[in-house]
Amino acid sequence: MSIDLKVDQQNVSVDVDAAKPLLWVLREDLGMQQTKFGCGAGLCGACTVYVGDRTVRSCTFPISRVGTAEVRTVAGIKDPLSQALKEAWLKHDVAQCGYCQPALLVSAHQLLSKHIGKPEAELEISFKEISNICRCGTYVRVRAAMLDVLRSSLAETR
Amino acid sequence: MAQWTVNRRELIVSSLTGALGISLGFSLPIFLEESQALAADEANTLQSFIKIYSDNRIEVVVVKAEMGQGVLTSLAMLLCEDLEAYWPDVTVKLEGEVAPFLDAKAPFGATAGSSSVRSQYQRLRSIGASVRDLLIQAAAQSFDLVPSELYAQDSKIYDKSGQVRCTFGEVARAALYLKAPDNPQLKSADKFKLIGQRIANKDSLEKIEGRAVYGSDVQLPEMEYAAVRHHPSFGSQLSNFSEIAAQVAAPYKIFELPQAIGIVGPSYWQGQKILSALPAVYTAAPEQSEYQQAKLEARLIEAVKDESGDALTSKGDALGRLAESSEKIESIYLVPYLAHSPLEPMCATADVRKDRIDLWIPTQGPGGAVGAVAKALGRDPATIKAHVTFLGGGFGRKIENDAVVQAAILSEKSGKAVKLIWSRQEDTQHDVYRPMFAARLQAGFGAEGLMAWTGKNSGSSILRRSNPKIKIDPTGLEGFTELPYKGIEHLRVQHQEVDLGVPVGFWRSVGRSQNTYFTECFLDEIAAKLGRDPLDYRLEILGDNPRGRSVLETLARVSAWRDSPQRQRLGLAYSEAFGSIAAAVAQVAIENKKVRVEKIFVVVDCGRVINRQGAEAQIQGGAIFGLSAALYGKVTIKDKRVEQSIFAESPFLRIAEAPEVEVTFIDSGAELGGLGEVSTPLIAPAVCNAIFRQSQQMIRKLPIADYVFS
Repeated sequence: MSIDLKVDQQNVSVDVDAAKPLLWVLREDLGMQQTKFGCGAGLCGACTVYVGDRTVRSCTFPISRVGTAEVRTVAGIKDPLSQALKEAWLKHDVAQCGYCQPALLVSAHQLLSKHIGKPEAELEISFKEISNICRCGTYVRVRAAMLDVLRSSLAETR
Repeated sequence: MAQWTVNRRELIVSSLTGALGISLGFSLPIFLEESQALAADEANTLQSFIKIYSDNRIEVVVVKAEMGQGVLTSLAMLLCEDLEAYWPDVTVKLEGEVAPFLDAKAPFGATAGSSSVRSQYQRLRSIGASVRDLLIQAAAQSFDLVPSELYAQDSKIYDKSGQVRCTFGEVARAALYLKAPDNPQLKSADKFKLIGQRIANKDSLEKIEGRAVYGSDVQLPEMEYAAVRHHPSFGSQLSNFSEIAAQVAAPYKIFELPQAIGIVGPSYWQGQKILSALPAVYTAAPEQSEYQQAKLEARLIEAVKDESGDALTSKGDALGRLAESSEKIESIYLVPYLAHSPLEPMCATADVRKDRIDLWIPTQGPGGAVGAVAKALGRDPATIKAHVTFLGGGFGRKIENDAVVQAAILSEKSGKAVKLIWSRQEDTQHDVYRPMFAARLQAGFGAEGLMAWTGKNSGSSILRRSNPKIKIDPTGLEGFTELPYKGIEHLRVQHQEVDLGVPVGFWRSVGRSQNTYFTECFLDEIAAKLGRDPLDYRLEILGDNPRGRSVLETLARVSAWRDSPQRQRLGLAYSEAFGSIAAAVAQVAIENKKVRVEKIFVVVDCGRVINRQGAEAQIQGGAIFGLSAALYGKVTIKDKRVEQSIFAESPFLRIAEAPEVEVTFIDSGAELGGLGEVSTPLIAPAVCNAIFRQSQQMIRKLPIADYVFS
C-alpha cells in the first residue's frame, strides 16, 4: 500500500506492505541508515525513534501504525536539548563502537525532556526506563553526560 | 623496545591528486605476529596515510578495525606527537580499502590481542618524526637556511627567533622531492603534548549522529538483501530443500549453503519473513541426544577429576607436599558457553563478478576474510578486495569469516551484489562461543601455611579448528598455568582438551575470561582458610614484583580496602595479562536475595597511557562487559543446539544496573601494555570474592544470577 509519511521534517511517500516495520522502511525504502537493527524483537533499543512525542522500537512497529505522526530519528531531533546532549556526549566521549548511540541519544532525549528542571535524584531513579543495550559498556558515561545536561539546564533556569 | 628505522620503502611519498599537497603513505600492519610481519616489510601492502594539504589541513587515514576501542584517534595521536601537527585541525578517517592479497606473500591481518597501539608506538612516532624532518628540510631549502635553524610546532615551521616561516602545507609540495631521513629524533616524554592527555575521539560525532558506515549500512547500486537460516543442531542436515525451494516465489530465491540456507531478494525484512516461515525438515545431528547441557558439564567435571596425564607446569614438589599436608581444600569451578552478541549482528556485503570480488565487511581480520572467500569460491586472492567498515562491536566474533563467505556464495549464485544480515536469533545460536570450561583446584596447608597448589582445567580448543595439528591449545592455558605469584613454590598444573561438539572461538580476553576467575577465586578460598586478608595475602606471595605491589597498594588506597566502612563487602582480583598489570575491587551488596554490584575500582599499570580518555573508556567498558557476563551470561545446549535465541533469554546489563567504574592508571614507564581486554577477566572473580567474603558462599559456577541468596 502507498503510505505518506513525515520523516525528519520531510514529506515522503512509500509503497510497502502495511505490516513492514518502520525500521525497515527507514533503512530499505528511504535509505536512512542512522537507525540500526539489533534484535528485531524490540528488546535492545538500537532502532529507537520518535513517532510523534513518544519513542518506539521501530523494528517491531508496523508502518501502518505511524499514521499522521512525524517520525524523528537522531538526525531529526533538532532542538536545544538535542544540541546539549550531543555536546555532553562529546565532552564525556561516550561513544565506543557507536552502533547503539544514535538510538540511545533518542532515548536519552525523551527521558531528559521529562526531567528538565527536576532534581537529579529523580533522573537517577528513571535511568531504568532506558533499556537500550550497549555491549561496549558506555553506560557509566551515558549517565554522566545526561546528568551534566540536567545540571546545566537547572543552572540556566535559575 | 626496538627502534624502527623509517626507510624509503616504508614511507611512500606522493603528491595528492586533486589538491595541492603531499600524501605520505606507510604500511600499518595489522597482524597477530606483528614483529614477524615487520621483518618482511615488502609484504606490507596495507596502506595508511598522512595527507598534508596546501591549506594546512592534515588528514590521518588509518586502515584498522575500529570497533569501539578508539584506535583511529590513538594511532593518529602517535603520528602527530612528533610530527608537531596542530591537533584540533587534524582529521582522521577510516580508509575503506584493504587489498592485502594484491601481494601473494602478504600474511593475514587482524586486530586482536589488545595489540594495536602497543605494537605501533615506536614505529608511528618515528614516521611522524620523519615527516616533520622532511617538512623542515623543505622549508630550509626555500629560505636558504640549514634545517637545524628551524623547528616545527602546531603545523608550522619556526626559526630560532620564534618567528613563523611557513605552514606545513606551504612546503608540503617541495618535500615531495626530498629523501626521508634515516634516524629522526623523537622527543622526550616530558615534551609530549598529546601522549598521556585526555583526548576526545575524533570519530565520535559521526558515530552519534549516525553517519559512520557500519557493515550493515553498506549500500550499493543494484544491491539485493540476503538472510540465512542455519540448521539448528550443530551437524544436522536439511532433508527437504527442493520442497521448500518450490514454495519461494520470485523475485526471492533460496540457495543451499554449508550448514544453512540463504534467501536473496529486494527486501531484507521480507526475505527474512519468507525464510523463517519455510517448513524446513532437519535430520538429527549425529548422537544428538548425547549433547545435553548437564551431560556436557559432567564430561568436563570428569575430565578435571582425572589426575592421570602429564603436568604442563610443575614447580617444586606439589604432589608430595599435598600428600603431606595436614589440611586440604578442593574446589571445582565451571563457566558456561558465552555468546559475543555484538549489537550489530554478523553481516557482510559481497559483489562477486567474473574477474573480481569486492567485499564490504565489519571485520577484525580483512586478510583472513579474503583468504576464506578465495578458498570457498576457488578464486585467486589477488582479485579480491576487502573494504573495511566500522564494526558495531567485535569482541572477537568479527575475526570469523562465516558471514562473509556466505555473502560471497550468495552473490555468486544470485549474480547480484548482496548484503547479508544475520537475524539476532542466528547470531546467538550460531556463534563461536567462549568455551565452557571447568577447573579443579586443590591446596594443601601445613605449619608454613600454603604447602602446595595443584590444578587442572578442561574445555574445548579454540585453535584446533584452524590448526588441527596443534598439540596443546595455549588459549586454554592463559592465566591458569602461569600464576603471577612467585611465592607459590610448589605448583602443578594440568590441562585436558575435550571436544564437546559446540563451536568455540575468541571472546574478549579469551582464556583469561575463565582462568582468572578460577585462580583468583581459589586464591581467596586459600586466604580465607589461612585467616588472611585477601589483598595482604596477595602482596605476600607476589614476591619481588614492585609494579604488582604498586598496583595492589594503589587499589587498596583508592577502594579504601583497609578502612572503608563497607570493607566486608569488597572483593578483589589481580592479573598480569596482555602486557599490563591490573587489579580490581568490586563493592557488592546482597539485597532481596539478589546481588547488586555498587561500584568497581580498577587500577592498571600499562606502562604508559597514550590517550587517558580512551584508555579509561576501554577499562570501564571491559569491566561492564565482564560484569554482564558474570551476572547473566550463559549459553546452554539441548540436543546439540543452543537454547537461547534473542535477548529475552540471554539478558545483558542495562544502564540503571551498571555500577560506577573508577579507573586509576599507574604510569610506570614500563613497556606498553594492552588495554582492551585487561579489565574483563577481573570482574567475575572480584564480584564472587566479595560475595564470598560476606556470605561465606563461593560461587563456583557462573552466572551469578542463577543463585538465590539468603
